[in-house]
Amino acid sequence: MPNVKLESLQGGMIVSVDVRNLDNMLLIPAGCALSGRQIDILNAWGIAEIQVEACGDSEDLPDLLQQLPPETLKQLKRDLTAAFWEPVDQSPVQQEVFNLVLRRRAKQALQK
Amino acid sequence: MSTTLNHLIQGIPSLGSYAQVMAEMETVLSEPHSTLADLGNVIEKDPDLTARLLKLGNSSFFGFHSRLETVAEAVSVIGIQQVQDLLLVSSVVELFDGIGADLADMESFWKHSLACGIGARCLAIARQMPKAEKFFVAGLLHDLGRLVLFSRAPNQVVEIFRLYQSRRMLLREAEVCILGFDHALIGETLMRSWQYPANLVSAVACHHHPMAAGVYQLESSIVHLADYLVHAMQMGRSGERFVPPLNQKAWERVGLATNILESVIRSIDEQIEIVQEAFLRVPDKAALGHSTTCAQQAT
Repeated sequence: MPNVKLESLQGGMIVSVDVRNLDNMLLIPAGCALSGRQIDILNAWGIAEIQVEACGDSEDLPDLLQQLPPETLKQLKRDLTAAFWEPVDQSPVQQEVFNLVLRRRAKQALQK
Repeated sequence: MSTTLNHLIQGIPSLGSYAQVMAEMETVLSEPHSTLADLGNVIEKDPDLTARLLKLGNSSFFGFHSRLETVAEAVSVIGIQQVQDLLLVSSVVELFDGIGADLADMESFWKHSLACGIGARCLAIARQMPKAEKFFVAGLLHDLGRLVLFSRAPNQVVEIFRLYQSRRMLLREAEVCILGFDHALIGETLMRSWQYPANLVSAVACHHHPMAAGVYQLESSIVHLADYLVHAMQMGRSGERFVPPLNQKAWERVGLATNILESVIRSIDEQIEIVQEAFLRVPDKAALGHSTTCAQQAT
């Protein structure tokens, strides 16, 4: 569910969280496909960015991890697993956090 | 136990040198004909506060499109409550400014706390909580009790870390072994003495046991989740080497979909630098030193 800056918004993107102005007035409800007119409204209210549905960003996890040498990836997983007090496979939310943080570390490792 | 606890927090003032600005702000706010410009005039007496307010107002933390030039504009965009929160947080940072580098890496400690504040605020916004800005303060102050320990009980801190390094345990368990209570209770007691709002006090008091927070379960659960996320990201250090246990009921209580977590992590990464600049003074490099801290020895 990425934050997208106003200048990068495109018609048809799905708003994932209600957009409200400073007075808490609802401008665009979550679930709405953005129109050009609505982007103008956001501009008029000085709203710099909104949250829209992810467009495949989450699905790049395997690709990103495959870019790492297998030994590095194994070490990253081992270090991360050891950092958690309890096993991370007990619930979907723990697994999601583990995967997101692993991907974040993989990105950092690739940037080095 | 209570004598020691009360002794620890005795005489810690709530606002330090910011008490004057806060009092003047309250005077302006109580006058029916006062304007934002009047409020701006009070804040502008403190150039450091003014600079940080404008920096924060123009940052991605608020995400506004147009550039803010004056304090009055910044107050109108950020909100009076947020300005008061900035004062409050700045005063806490100032209060615990002199903690020795041998006890804790304070830059790293504050990074963890600020990241937790950002995370809690993001989760509260996603949950559409009223006054979501308040969660920034709750997240930021969640480990307030550790600051008290570092500044008021350095010898016990050394003992706590010695025990903590000797076996696989959570830092708060080592605190209970040595002191009889943990940092969450210290933070709660201090915040009660400062007469902070009950929801904020509960969020700090129960950030490890959010379901024990009674009517403030939701607030405590949000701070608990933010703390879990920030530990997992290894964003700064509170002294704890492990990602602490996640309370599954807290996650269910907050009631968000797991796909929100990606945007929360991204927001923390994007906002941490500007928030550090806005809320923390430039660290004194000489004071930071290069010695190893108790907290670092534990890792």
